[in-house]
Amino acid sequence: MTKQHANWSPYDNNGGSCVAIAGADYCVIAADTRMSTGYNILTREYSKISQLAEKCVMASSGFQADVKALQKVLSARHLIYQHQHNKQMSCPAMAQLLSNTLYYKRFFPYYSFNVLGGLDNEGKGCVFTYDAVGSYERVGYSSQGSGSTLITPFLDNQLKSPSPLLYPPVDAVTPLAEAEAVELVKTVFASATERDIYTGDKVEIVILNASGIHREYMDLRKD
Amino acid sequence: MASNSDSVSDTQRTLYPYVTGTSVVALKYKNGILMAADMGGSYGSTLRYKSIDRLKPIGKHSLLGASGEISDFQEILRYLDELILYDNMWDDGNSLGPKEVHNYLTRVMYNRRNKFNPLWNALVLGGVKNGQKYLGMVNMIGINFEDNHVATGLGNHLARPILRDEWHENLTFEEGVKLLEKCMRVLLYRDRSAVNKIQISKITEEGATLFPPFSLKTYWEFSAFKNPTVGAEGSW
Repeated sequence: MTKQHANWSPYDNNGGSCVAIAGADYCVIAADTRMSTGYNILTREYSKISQLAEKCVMASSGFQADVKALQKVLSARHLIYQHQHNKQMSCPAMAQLLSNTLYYKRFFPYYSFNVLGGLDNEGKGCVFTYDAVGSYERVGYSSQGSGSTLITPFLDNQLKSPSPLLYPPVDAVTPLAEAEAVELVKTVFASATERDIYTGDKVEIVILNASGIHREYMDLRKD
Repeated sequence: MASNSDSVSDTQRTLYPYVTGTSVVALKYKNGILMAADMGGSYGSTLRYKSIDRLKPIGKHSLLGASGEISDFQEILRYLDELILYDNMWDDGNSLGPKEVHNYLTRVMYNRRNKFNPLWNALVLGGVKNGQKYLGMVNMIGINFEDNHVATGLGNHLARPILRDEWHENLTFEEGVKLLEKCMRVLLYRDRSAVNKIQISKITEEGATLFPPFSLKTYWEFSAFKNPTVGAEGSW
């Protein structure tokens, strides 16, 4: 008698898209607020963005329960860090912690596709992009989630960033101003919403700069 | 990945559900939360139990509705009993609100999913504390969220669209009940595991009220039911 296997999957994809763009002295992180399962919408107002530290914000799409658990683990670790070092974690430090946390579950992964955005120790915008098991890279901009295949080529074309293929490597931070980058993010989500069924409802945009953190929302198509 | 499932041997974990409850539907209204579920417990395609209470008050501020495996629901009630007991034993005037209970349930469900031994349920948790209304859902793999109206199982397909169309802020109690009845009627017509014995309960700042079970009036005289093949050439 063969071993009876469970006929359920511990994973699900709750969809959604995330984007982060780094500028000279700012960082824009955005994600839609739709949470789906299969062809159903579970809720139209679910935030995929989590502020991990003062200058570090993470947007994650994928399997929502894993995303929530990951956010909790990182929050808790940040609290411990603050107790032990009496300061906030820097964005590059949190980037490494996220990578290690993801790899820790290499053989039962967090089904979470993350972009980390924030300001580095010099106040310059930084964006880190991840896969589900923690492989990461600092980049000038990135997109993850169900709409990423639609969004990334658009950003490649419109951000006017130096090519990531240049050698010696040039910092891929965009020369665009903050307001222009935010406009671009809105355009990009409106476009992704047209063709990706899992993206829509609203986009939540978080802007990190020297004066702190600022949040805005824009309505998207609800179909 | 399959090797991870050996943390508990196969004879000791849930592979499929046996006695199940069908949809739960809930919405926020002016004074709190209204929740509805039928009283059926199906054993596969047999309607085995017809008086199962699937809505239970939890502590002073919350209401729990469950669909899925009934024995797992009873286990969850035992966990929550203990939780509320320890909360009361602090005797500090504080009590766990719906947000806290929902968070606890989410952690429990996610943890069991991690061990490949899920509690085979979709839970609806609603409540009011200090004037704040809360309505959330969590399912067997730990997916959780809160919203102004939620439903489990087929309710997601049949009730949510009705709620999306007709729900608005500050529904009166009567409007809320009418809306829930509309959803439960559609489910009764179209969900094969539904039973015409509905329970509605409400929770407000004053506490939880479970109304006595009732049945919905149904209408089967639609001409399309009498002559189902009219307009379908060649059908019989």
